[in-house]
Amino acid sequence: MKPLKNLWLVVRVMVIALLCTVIGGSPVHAVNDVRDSASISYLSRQLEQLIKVSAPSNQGLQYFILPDSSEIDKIPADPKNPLTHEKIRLGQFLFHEPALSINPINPKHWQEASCASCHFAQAGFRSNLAQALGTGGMGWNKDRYRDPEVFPTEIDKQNILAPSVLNSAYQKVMLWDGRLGSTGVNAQEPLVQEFDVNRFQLDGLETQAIDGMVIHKLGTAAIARIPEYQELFAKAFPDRPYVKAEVEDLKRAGLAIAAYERTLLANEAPFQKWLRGDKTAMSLSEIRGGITFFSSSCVQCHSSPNFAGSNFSALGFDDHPLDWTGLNLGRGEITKKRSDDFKFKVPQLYNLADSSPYGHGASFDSIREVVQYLNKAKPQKLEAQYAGNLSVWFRPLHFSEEDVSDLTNFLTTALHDPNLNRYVPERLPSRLCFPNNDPLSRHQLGCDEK
Amino acid sequence: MFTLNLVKAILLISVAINSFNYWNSYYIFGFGMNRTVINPVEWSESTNKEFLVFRHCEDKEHQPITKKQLLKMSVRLRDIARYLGTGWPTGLTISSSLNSLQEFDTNIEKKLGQVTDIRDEKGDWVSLSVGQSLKLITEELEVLKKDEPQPLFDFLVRYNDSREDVYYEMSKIPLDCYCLKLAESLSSL
Repeated sequence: MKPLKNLWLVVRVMVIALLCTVIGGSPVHAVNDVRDSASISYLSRQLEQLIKVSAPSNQGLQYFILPDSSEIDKIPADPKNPLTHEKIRLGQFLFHEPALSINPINPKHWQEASCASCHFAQAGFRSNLAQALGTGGMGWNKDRYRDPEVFPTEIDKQNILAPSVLNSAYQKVMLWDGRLGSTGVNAQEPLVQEFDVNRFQLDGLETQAIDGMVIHKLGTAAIARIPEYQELFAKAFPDRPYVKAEVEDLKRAGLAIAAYERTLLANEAPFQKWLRGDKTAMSLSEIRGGITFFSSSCVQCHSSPNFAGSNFSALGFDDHPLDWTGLNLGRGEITKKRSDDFKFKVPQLYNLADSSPYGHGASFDSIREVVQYLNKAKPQKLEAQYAGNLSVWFRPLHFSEEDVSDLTNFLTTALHDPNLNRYVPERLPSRLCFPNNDPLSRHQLGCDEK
Repeated sequence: MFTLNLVKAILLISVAINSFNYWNSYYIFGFGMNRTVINPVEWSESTNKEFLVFRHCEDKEHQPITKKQLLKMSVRLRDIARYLGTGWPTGLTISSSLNSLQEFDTNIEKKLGQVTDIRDEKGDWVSLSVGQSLKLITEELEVLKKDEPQPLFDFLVRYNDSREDVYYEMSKIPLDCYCLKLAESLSSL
């Protein structure tokens, strides 16, 4: 009897295995899938409720939905720089154009770098380096390093992490201390209004793009000789007098670049799809992470549609290791207010996974490290604590390890737009290699083979 | 009206300095990099008191630095940093006699010295800016809070003879000595 019983057992196992092969999954998985589906539906409803509570003025889920980049009437813009498709097209070229780099300190680096050298699409429009290198940098992406043949003073760099340009349409002021821009929080700061860079009384994005032309030693004289650019400028700025060659037009070039930057929106991220109704766009862990985010103090600071903040916060992050002054006062140095010491801009949270490190001082190597730091709430930089300026939200969050993992997943994958390359032009009117045009980058980007 | 304009002018100048610091930080960093450091002198009971710029630490009557003093100093330094930038040199002036220094170097005249640099963890000399001094004060606050032994630091002191700047290294100075000296200096402002 016993061998027969064993045979019957073997046959049953074989039938189940066959069924699984036909159906395409194990019975355990099938049960899990049903359970996950139920959980996703239940947790999605919970997340929806939390988002609705977080959105101001009863705007609901709509508040966090980023518009399509072609819907320019829905993208926040500076009234003094209205968005047009022609201006955006010109800005897209200029943003990636090494031919603008015509005034480098060392002539060796002529036309080798562009805005996108430090803010390129593959890195979520950040630099993927602790210290971004513009003119005088060599190589592409993580491989970029300082040109060893020139003095360090001849290299365009900052001792602070390069912030992301992605979703910057939702930020009124720019740079970590928010010095650029006359609107938003700066509208209440008479001293910041007096800054020379704010002389045009524009939003931060426009101000930075114009000022960046000077700071990063760019100019339009070389591209003004290219007929395609002449036409692009004429279409983008119909009010502009038609000039044929070699004119410097830094302001209009900056306005066009800012217009393009406003269209850089991570609207294909899974969270965006979920907000638009595709409840399967996020995994169970990502939804749980979203719930953790919206039910904790995270959303108190990261409250804008792009999860940036309109205010400045002190979270005790360390300063950049290359900051020779030893300490960065942040916003306090700009507003001259004691209460603003050690406060920095709250950055947007999309496509963080594309570029590391993190924090204004590049003091974290991974997103998980940042989450763990905020969970424990022990400041890296104690000066902010002694100054009494640490954010009231900087308190231990008491997240479990699972909460930390879920939140990290939400930030890493749910807020990750996998297709930012759609914002990169296929070619440039100058035909130069982009975003970098130094010999090593040309080789690494395959430009020499074309 | 004149005062208002003057204040405005000072603010604008400080903004300009800050902007310069921000965008051109490396240019300032380059200042004073070629320095000849001689005669490292270690702080100890037996060292000639006159030589020691931090000699007040040996005084019997000297009161240890307090948390209140440190906090007051940090507020003051932050005030300075806000207007002149965190890169502004602290410029702690040494007023002690230099008889002992003259024993080391007969060319040196009796002049005031200035504590200019501190040795960092990597062994490099770092300019003693307002930001660096603020960091040291914070460290001292933590030392007092945890009741830890005083950390020792190496400093560079600059003296100026008729030809060029001469730098003397002062080794193993207790942190509270530096903070006390800085407190004295700031309270005289």
